[in-house]
Amino acid sequence: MVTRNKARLVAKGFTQIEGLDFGETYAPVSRLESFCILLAFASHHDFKLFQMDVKSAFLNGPLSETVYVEQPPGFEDPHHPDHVYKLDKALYGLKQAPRAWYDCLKDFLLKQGFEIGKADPALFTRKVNNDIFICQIYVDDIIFGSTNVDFNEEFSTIMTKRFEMSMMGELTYFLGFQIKQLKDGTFISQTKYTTDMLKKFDMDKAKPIKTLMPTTGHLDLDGDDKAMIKRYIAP
Amino acid sequence: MIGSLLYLSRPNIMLSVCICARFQANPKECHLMAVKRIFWYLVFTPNLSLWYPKGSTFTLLGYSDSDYAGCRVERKSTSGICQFLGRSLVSWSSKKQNSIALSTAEAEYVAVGACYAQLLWMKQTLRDFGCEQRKIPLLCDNEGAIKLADNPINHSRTKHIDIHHHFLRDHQSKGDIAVQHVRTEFQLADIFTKPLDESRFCALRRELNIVDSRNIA
Repeated sequence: MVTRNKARLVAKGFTQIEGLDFGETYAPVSRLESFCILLAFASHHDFKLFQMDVKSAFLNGPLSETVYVEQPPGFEDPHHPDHVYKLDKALYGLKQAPRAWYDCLKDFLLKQGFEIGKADPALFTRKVNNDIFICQIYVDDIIFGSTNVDFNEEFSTIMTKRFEMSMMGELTYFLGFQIKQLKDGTFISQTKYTTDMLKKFDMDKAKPIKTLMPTTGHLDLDGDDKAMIKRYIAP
Repeated sequence: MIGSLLYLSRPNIMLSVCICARFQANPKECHLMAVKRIFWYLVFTPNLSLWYPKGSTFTLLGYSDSDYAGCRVERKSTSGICQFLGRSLVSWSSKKQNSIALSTAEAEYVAVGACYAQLLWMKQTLRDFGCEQRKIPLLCDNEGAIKLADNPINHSRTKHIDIHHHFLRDHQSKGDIAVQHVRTEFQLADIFTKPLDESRFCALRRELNIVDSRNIA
């Protein structure tokens, strides 16, 4: 469902030359397993996870290279049509934009006294006495939680002060996963994705079957065997 | 169709999706049927989800299994591995091995190595959370592979196994992991290596804590 329309000024990143306009472009993102570990950890330590996202995250990252952009078509300055803009911060479309954003967020969190994960650079933690505060970053999505609820309040305050944030609340939907945090544990499902996919391929009314593959008749390169096809249709 | 199935992170369908993906270069009618059958299964179980119960234990545990020469085309074996934190399934994988194994023990040994590499990474990550894990149990149903991890002896049938798989042996001797035997019926990684019949498939699915979210909520 479309809730609102967006327009965005985008730089033509494909015209950038390596070494001149950009250097390092790698930006770490979390692996799915890190996310599962975090959910299992939170479930075991009996605390709730929350999420928020940063509005137009990439526009926050300061650039270390000097980059110029042409004036956007339709918005040229009539007095100086030949002038260009020198960028202070990243624009969407620039090759280094994700990295500039990650560095910006990392520096900010480290300054606030967070520790960066040794195995996973997208994980930040802070330990005070026996309490732990954890946040996991997935580009502009931030998942956080703590054994001490006061830390959550504090964290959202410092984040809103520094960045423009939106969508704060209990973690329910992330990267296509539906998450239900209940009293006895946590559910992680992709029901919505599954039903949408079945609809897309016009399979939602198909006859259900209880197993994925027959135990006999392995697939091989010659796939026109009629007996084999029959085995796959049989329940 | 396979592309959108790959985005579905559901452990129990992964093996079938991977097998189908192997025939993408030259698909025939029967391969299409196999993909369709995955969809029929999804129609049957759209609500399955991972369940992370709140419990007392929070230790890492790895399962590793392999299907010797499971691929009918190249005769390569399939590794199936999964890792638990307490009773929560946090990571899983099913992969056709890169080299052809000469024995079941070798195929299992390669799978144990892959499983351990993942456990090592998870151990590091858990250290960031402030949890220290020692002597991580890794369950495997093949005695030969366990013996291989224990003893630095080269037998005539194992001496060809590549050096990089032996990093496992190093960690076993340091006591970072404990490769242990598990009976085949309790081998949960079985589901990631070969097609199973309905009762075994459902039993393993339950053991992996993949449940219908409507039943509990």
